[in-house]
Amino acid sequence: MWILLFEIILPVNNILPKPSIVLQSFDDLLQKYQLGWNYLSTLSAIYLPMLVAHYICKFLFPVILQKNVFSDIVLSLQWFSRNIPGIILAMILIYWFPRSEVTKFIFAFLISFTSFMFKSKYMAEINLGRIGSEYSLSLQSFGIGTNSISREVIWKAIQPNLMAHIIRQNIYLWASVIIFEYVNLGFGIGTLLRKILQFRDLSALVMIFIIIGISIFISMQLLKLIKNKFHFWKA
Amino acid sequence: MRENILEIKNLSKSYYNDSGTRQIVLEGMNFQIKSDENAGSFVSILAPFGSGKTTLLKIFAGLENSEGKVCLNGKRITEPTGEIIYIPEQSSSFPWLNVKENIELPSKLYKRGGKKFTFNVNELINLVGLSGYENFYTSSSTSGFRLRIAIARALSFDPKFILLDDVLKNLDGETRSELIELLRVLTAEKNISFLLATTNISDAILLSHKIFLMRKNPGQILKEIEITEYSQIHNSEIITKYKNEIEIELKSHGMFHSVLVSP
Repeated sequence: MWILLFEIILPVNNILPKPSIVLQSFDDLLQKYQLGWNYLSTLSAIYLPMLVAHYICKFLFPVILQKNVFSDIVLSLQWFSRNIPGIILAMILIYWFPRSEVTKFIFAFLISFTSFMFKSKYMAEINLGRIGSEYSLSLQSFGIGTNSISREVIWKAIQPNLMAHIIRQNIYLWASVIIFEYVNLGFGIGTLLRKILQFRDLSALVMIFIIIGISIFISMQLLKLIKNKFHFWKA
Repeated sequence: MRENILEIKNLSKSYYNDSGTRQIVLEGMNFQIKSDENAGSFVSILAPFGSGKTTLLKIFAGLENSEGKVCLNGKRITEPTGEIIYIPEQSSSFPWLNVKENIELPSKLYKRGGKKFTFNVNELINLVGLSGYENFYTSSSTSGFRLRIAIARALSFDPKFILLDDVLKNLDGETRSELIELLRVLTAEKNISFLLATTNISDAILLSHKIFLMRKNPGQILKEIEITEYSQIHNSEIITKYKNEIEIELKSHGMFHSVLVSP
């Protein structure tokens, strides 16, 4: 439709650029806007903190399942994540560490970590319900400690649901990190987007949206593949 | 000949319910279960729903505390040790593991020093009738299949007793018969000792050397019935004889309708 309308019928207009020009702008994005580095920067700011958050969550999972002071402290973060939008956190971080590249990693980590932590606790206690206690009982009489059971069994049991949550969280993280970069400047697709808008480069703008769209689509497919391949069971 | 004695003395258990009232689940229970390591035994606790069977089994396994004494061979049970294995009603198999890995899991997670595991996983799989399913993932398996895995997993620890918490309740007729046969073979030929808590008279008669009748509110042992014709139990006349004896006893305590009587 776009090709038909703007390449052939309305080649000159103020709404959308010609598809052929948009294609050519890919070269500009690579050369002038350094798309490669910026893209890698955004990608690593989304997925490295996500991976680290997942491992830390796994490590802390037995503690979170037990009701003690430490779990209360960690869970008090839930209040912040529920009531304060992520963008406020971003503003504070940018104010404290202006133009620092590390900040966006911290920002993405905090978002992933709080979300994974509460989801995993909720899933273990509510979603898993009776099955969870049957899993625990099945192993406790062997003399196996609750920490091992939490980490090796309950954590495993919630993985398919947690993975489904990560897939949903993926779009939110992409959006959050891009907005963060847009405000903070430095490296990343968000910064690149800001430059494009400053130069009023419509074809590059359309191209970058296409790239973001394709990237989110591919990442979703990859995460779904990981879920189906490695977290295939139904507890 | 080495004998294992599982014994409870003056056992009571109570808890406070949501409204703050004290609810007595078990009261003043005394009984003893003996098993010989060269001859397995099968004991059943036949009781109505809500009589505290599960609580009693958990206390035996060291999963719950209580007032009174629970001893295995004279040693007080205060925590789970792996000598008495509890299999819950919904026999768990872990769906992210295959049959072999499911059986090996406790031995891999067990971290207390000293215990050496000498079981042959393929032998256990064969014993519970799962040969050919070694690498089968259990997410879509039936209750009977999962129970077989749970039994093999329990056997990997070479326990003194295996506690079965109404495990046959949700099985269909054919699977139930197969598993009753398996449990009888494990008891009689492999010298494994079981304690089954059940609401089903037929299951108790078909499987047991001894049946303890238990009442509820509070849970107490009413009577001990010895099944002397264990090896001829498939004879319907013998089954009927014991059924009648149990039914008369239950009726005399006004609890016949709260215990299942299946064919």
